[in-house]
Amino acid sequence: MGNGTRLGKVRGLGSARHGSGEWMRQHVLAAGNMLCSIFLAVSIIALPDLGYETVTAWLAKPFPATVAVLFVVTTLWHARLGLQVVIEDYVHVESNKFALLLVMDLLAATGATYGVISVIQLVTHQDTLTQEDVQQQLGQMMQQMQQMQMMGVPGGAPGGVQ
Amino acid sequence: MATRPLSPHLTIWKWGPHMLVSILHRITGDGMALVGIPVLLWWLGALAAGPEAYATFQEQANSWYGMVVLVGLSWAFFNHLCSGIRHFVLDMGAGFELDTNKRWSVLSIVIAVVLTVGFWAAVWFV
Repeated sequence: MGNGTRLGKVRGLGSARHGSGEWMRQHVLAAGNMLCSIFLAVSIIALPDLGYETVTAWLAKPFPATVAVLFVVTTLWHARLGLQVVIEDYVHVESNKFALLLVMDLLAATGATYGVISVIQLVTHQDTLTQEDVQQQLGQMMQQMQQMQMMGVPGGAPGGVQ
Repeated sequence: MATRPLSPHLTIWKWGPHMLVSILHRITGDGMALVGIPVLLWWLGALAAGPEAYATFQEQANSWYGMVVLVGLSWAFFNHLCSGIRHFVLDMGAGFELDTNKRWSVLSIVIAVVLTVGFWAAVWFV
């Protein structure tokens, strides 16, 4: 702050000039949260059970995964803005306020990244084929190769069947 | 500072539902931010990590204290949702008449409890 002149004493104490933007973002994010969370809540009710197989099979599908990612990002962002208001209401020591807001930013960014990475991992690791499907397909391939060999097609089984 | 004129009525007020709903909005929001988000991330992380990690999550979630946390979080969610929608209406400049304001304050709290009960009934019995 200033050196004690009347202007210097009040300089920097006014509006930060981005409050209304944050207020509006908080409301838009709330609407996003609402849509995503209602979709997820209805889906969870509709799932026959909440076991590992059922939940991963559902969440690995493109649309539920998209909603889950949007939900994680909008929720963390909305929560971060909400906690900022609480901190600004109750923490009046500038240095403490700065440190808390910084820690909150780091936690929110880390949390959102962790959530998004988890969903991406679910989508990419979800094996859409069961073991039975794989065995059935392998069996068909073997049969075809045997037929080709019987018909005398050269190279019917490249590399040989092991 | 001391000589500045202050309102003589700052300490004179009567408790009302509009105060309760406002305080609950902040408490439920903070509760979900500090407890709900870690639970959500644990759930997603456990699903991504595999069946064993998910079994650990389920074990904790199905315990009595896990159910207290989950039911509490769902109530916080529905309460925050209802009072949040109330805020959307108030932000349009509507619903400030004393009786209207009081009615929707009470209703948002009641509807939240009904939605919480309905949600768990649907999860368990549908």
